[in-house]
Parts: sequence; structure tokens; C-alpha cells
Amino acid sequence: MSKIKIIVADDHQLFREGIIALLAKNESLDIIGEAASANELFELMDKNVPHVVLMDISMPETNGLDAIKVARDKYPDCKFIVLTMHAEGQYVVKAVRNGAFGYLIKNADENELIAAIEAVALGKKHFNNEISQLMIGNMALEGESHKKLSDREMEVLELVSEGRTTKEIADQLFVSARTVDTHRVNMMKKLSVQNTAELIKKAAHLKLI
Amino acid sequence: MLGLNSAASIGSDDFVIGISNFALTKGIKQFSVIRLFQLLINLSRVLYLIQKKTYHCTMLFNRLNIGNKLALIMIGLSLAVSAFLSYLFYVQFDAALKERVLLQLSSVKQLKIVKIRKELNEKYDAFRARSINPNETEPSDLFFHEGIYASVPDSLLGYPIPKKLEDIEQRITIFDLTQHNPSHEITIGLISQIESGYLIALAEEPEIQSILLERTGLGQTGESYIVGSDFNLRTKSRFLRDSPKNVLVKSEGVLRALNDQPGEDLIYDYRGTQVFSSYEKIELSGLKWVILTEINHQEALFPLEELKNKLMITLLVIIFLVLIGSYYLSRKMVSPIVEMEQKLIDMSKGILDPIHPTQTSKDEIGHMFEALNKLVNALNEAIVFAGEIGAGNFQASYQLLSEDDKLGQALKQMKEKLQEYQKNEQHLLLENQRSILNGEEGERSRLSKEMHDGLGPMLTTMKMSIQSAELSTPTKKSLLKHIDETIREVRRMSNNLMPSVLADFGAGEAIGNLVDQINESSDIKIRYKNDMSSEAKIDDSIQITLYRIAQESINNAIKHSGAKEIKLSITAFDNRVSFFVSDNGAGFDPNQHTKGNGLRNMKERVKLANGTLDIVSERTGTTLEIEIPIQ
Repeated sequence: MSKIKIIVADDHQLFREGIIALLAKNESLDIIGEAASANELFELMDKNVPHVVLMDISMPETNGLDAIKVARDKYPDCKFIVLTMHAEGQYVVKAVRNGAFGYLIKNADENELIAAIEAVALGKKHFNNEISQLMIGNMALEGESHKKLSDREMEVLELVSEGRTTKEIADQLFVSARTVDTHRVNMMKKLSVQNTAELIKKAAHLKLI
Repeated sequence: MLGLNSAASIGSDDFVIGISNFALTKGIKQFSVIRLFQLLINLSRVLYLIQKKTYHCTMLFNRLNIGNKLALIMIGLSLAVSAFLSYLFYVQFDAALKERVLLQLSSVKQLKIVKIRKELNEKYDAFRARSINPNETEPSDLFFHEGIYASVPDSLLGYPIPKKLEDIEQRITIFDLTQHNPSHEITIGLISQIESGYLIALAEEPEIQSILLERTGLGQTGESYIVGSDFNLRTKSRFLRDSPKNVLVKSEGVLRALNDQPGEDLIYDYRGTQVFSSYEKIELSGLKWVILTEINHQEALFPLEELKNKLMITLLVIIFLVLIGSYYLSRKMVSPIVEMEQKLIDMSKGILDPIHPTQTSKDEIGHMFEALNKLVNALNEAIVFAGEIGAGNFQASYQLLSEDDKLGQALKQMKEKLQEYQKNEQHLLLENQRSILNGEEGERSRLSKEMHDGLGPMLTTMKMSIQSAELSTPTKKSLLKHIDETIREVRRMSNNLMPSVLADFGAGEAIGNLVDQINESSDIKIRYKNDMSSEAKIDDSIQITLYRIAQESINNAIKHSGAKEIKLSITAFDNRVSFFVSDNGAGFDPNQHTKGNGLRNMKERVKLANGTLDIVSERTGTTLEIEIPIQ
């Protein structure tokens, strides 16, 4: 099995050196370059496409996650592992969406890092337990929806059709009464109706309720 | 002023001529001409003096106050009018009086003439009766001597008989013998030729003397006397003790009467006294007398003097009354002006009390007071308005008095400028606060990033170094544990300063993380709804504001209300973000700032973001609604 070609992209030289020093001990890994920014990375990749890129998120100019999104189409064979200090679910979810194969917090053990590189190089995805939790926690809040009405509007519509007053709906959804009214108006705009009665009728027709 | 005077002088000349014409028509020519001359001379003197003093007077007049001016004018005019009227009256009266005096003299004289003629005729008739028939008639006792003489004797009883009477034929001739009467009685002689010679009679006429001495209608100085053709006085004078023989009367009256020009006039009599005289010739059968009835000019014109005095007194009374009247009137007329003067002086000092004139009138002065009051009111309104503006109340309005109300316009402009200035000031203040806040947040962000992205990786690098270092396992473990704790602490600190998610994923996500953390670490239950769509492009400063508000409100709820549950939602619309938080805590009085800087900071931040903040706090909980506009 040939060595896994790796590029380390991080704006902190000290960190790059540390990582390289760490990985260099492992004979199955071949550090073919290091980049301080996304642009430097792309230059290196033009010359020699690595198997795995260890990618920092916070970098000057283009941030790591955006760079992954760009590079994924350009170099479909190259796998990205996000190696970052950010331990928030939002970053994890975005990294996954943008096509990252792994997500590691920078204070991860040497062993986990190598394991992740090896797994990803084989085309597997690597997210440890902690990361998976973060991801799932945020995925639940997200809702990929291309419906005509937003989730909140659907909720409001539901309550309106039950005959609740604005005050009751506001209480239930813990938003202000004005917000409920605005939702209602927005829904009427979206469904091109003039009043609440027509709104419910149209919603029923569209099988939204 | 000079032109006016000369015009006036011409006018008065005309007038005087008019008067003199009037006087002339009354037949007092001489007198009037003299008076006219005197008057003209006096008038020209006065005019000259007036001309000379006019400038000086004008200066003096201008220096007087209005009251005195009015009084002076009133006095002057009334004096002129009353003096003129008095003069007119005087002249009229003078003429009328003279006419009356002369008329009276004339009638007295006529009466006396009639009586004298009657007396003479009696003698004449008696004599004629005798002369016609001397033998058959008894001699009349009217004559103290009577006789028939063949020829005219040279003298008879000591009375000379005039020679020229010889050619008297049948006619009766009367001749005057008074000159020769030793007792100065009027004595006449009568002669007539009869058949047997000449009838001569002598008679004394004490009756005539008594007729003349009768003083009815002649006053104190009036007298009547007879002058012979030899200009000697025939009768007794009231004023002279001498024998009338020796008194020569060759006055104008006698001369005119002898020249058959009877009449009345003001003349000088035998004493050299000025008298009104009526004179006429009495001619009877050769007897040629002049009878004069006279009265002293002084006495005759005594009523005129009296009138003059009365007129003078009247004039003085008028002057006095006019003086008082004009003083009172001018005071009355001038007092509102004086009041107004005082008011204007006050106004010039900036005292703007409303005016209550002591007299209310509908004339120009009343209107002036009304206008002045309006002015004062307008000024007061302007002052109030300016005060309001000065105090910063730009709601104050001001009604322009007219299109030319420059003060009002200036004030309005001032208000607008001040308003603009205040607006700019507020804007600047907001901008300053904003930039301070932004600077602060920028600094936090920078610090947070430094710690997160700088310090963090260094620590991880250190961790890696330790991992690969030749150390005993326990030491290594302990060091790694420390490093991990340090990294966690750095991350926590960085997160507290400013979570990186806020910049990268917005307030909705950052608040979500915050809520998760709190839910994990405390007993309170926070329910959060994030309706910030990821497409909504919201300014970083608003994201930060929203996040800080959320932090602050959650913090307040936890710290102060003792709430068990917090409901939190954030909703993005096209034009605004709506932030809603309610807790079931104890509530508080939003008007009391006893809760530290939390609420104040929130309000400040909302204000800087041009948002609105509504707090409803009751015992069962607090609801906070914030709306922040977005582009």
C-alpha cells in the first residue's frame, strides 16, 4: 500500500510544524506540503493532488469550510478532514454539508488523528462520538424544507385553523403577538389570499392542514 | 413760517382796511384813518418782532412737551379769536356809540332850536302886532323898553343901535344887543319902520338862557350855547365864570354853521377840549346866531371805556378759563401718550407686562394702545416660544403675525436650526456610542479570535509535543490533562468574549448554543425557537446586538426573577428581526433601575440599532419584545 499523501492547511506555522512532526513519525503517511491559506493549498493541489487534506477552519481570506466546498468539485478524489479549534455543532454540520470526510478538534490524540486519516484515505467518513453528538444536535434544529411555508408559518397556520387567537398563538409559540400577525400576513401574501378565512380555505385545498 | 406770517399780515391789512371802510361809511373818517395808521404801524412792528423771534420760538416750541404744546396752541388760538372778536366788537360799538351820541346831540339841539325860535317868535309876533297898529295897541310887557322914534337913535338906554338898520323899511329887523348888556343877559333889539317913524323895542331873553342851560340828555359835560356872528359867546358857559362877552368861539363847528353847513362832528371847542358837537345856524330877521350842543368826547365815550374794561376782564376770564381748560384737556389728552411713552421706555428695557390703559378710548390713541398690546402679546408669545425652544421643547409652535413678521421668522428658523442641530447632535451621539460599542465588540471579537485561533492551536501544538516527548507515562498523562484543561478554559473564555459561531452562523445559532449551555449547566429551563433563516443577510452589528440582548435578558431572568422557565424566540422577517423573551419569574418595575446595568444596556443597544423595546412585567412574569429593523 502506497503512502497516504497529506497536505496540512493551517495559518499557524507552529501548529503545522507540530502536526508535521507528529505525522512524520508514521511511515505510512507522506506530508507532501503545507499551506498557510486556502489559496496556497489550491496552488499545491494543482501540482500534486494529495489523498487527504487536514484543513483548519479559521484562516485569513477564505475560510476552511468554504475552501472544502470549492475543492470538492475540483478534486473529487481528495478527502478533507477538518482539524479545528471550533467545537460547535454548526461548524460540524456545515463541514459535512460542504463535503468534509472527517471532523477533528485540534486537541485530539495523536492516535485518533492517524486513525481518522487512514479511515478517510480509504473513503470512509470519520466522526467520533463527541462530534457525532454535536452534529446530530444541530441537524435536528435544521430543517431542509422547500415547502411553500416555513415551519413556523405552518405552526401558526395550524393554530389559526384551530381557531386560536393571536394572543394564544403568541403564548404557545413564545413569540410576540406582532410576530404572529406578521407570520399570518406573510402567509396570506405567499398564498395570495386576502383574509384569514380564505387563508384556511386555500391551505386546506393545498392540503397543508 | 415767514411766508405764513407775511400772508397773515396781508390778510390783516385787508381786514383793517375793511374795518376802516366800515368805519368810513359810518362817517368817522378822520378818526378811523388815524386808528388805521396806528394799527398798521403796530402790526408791522409785531410782525418784525415775530419774524425775528420765529426761529428761536420754533426751537423753544419743539423743546416743549406735547401737553404744553397743546395748551400753548389752545391758549394762543383762543386768545387770538377772542382778541379779534373783542376788537371787532369794540370797533362796532365805538362806531355805533358815536353815531348815537351825535344823534342825541342833534336832537337836543333841534329841541332847543325849536324852543328858542318859539321864544323869539313870541317877541317877534308881539312886536309885529305893535308895529302894524301902534296907536290902537298897548305896549307889550315882553319888552323892557318900547318907543317910536322919528329917526333911529345912536343908542337907546345905553344900547347902541346899529346904523345899517336905517334902510330897513317895513320889515322887522332883529339885532343882537347881548354884548352891551351889563348883566350879560341875552338881549335883542327889534326895529321896524312905521308911519310915524321907527318902532324900536328892546327885550331881554333870560328864557333862552334857561333853555340852553337845560341839561336834559347832556350828561355831566354836555352844554348848549349860542355864538354870535362875531364869534363871541352869547350865553353863559357851564365851564367859564368869565362874561361870555370875552369868550371868542371860533371853532370848526361855528365856522361850518356860518357857512350854512350844519352838522355833527368830533371837534375842539372854545376850551380846546375834544367834544362831540352838533351845530346849526339860527337866522331870524337879521339875527344870526349859531347854536352848538356839545358833550365832552371823554364822557360820550365813557360806555366805550367801560366796554373796553369789561372786554378786558372778559378776555382775562377767557384766558384764565382757557388756561385751566387747556391744562386739563391737554393733561387728559396727553396722559395716555405719557403712559404710552413710559410703556415704550419699559419695553425698550425689556419689561413686557400687558398694558391696561387708565383711559379707554376709541380714537387713534386707543388704537395705538390696542396695537401696542398686540405687539406686547406677540413679543410675549415670541418670548415663550423662544423659551420653549431654549428649553429644548421643539413641539412648541408659533403663529406668524404676518408675512413680514421677521422676528417670528427668525425664531422659527432658529427652532429649525436648533432642531437640526439637536438632531445632528443626537445622531452624532448615537454614532459615537455606536462606534464605541462597535469598537468594544470588535476588540472582544479580536481577543476571542486570538485566544481561539492563536492560543488554542499553540496549546494543541504543545500537547502534541508532550505526546511525542520522552516522558514517563504518569507525567505525560498529568501534563496532557493540564493542557486539555487549559485548552478548554481558553475556549470557554473565547466563547464568553464572543462566540465564533455568532460571526460565522449568526445570532440565531449563537443564541441556540448559549441556550444549550445554560440548559446543561443550570436548573432553569429555556425553550428557544430560532426563526432566523440562514439566507437572511443581517448586519454583524445587529447580530451582535441580538446576541447581547439575549445574553442580557437570560442573565436578568436567571439572576433576578427566580424564573423556572424562559421562553425565547427570534424571528427574522424581510424588514425586521423580532426578539421575544418571557419568563415566569417575579417581575420587576421596569422604571426602576435597580437591576444593575442589564436593562439599561439592553435599551442602549436597541436604541443604537434604531429598534423598539417593550417590557411588560407582572408578578407572574416578564415579557420583553424587541424589534430591530434590518435592510
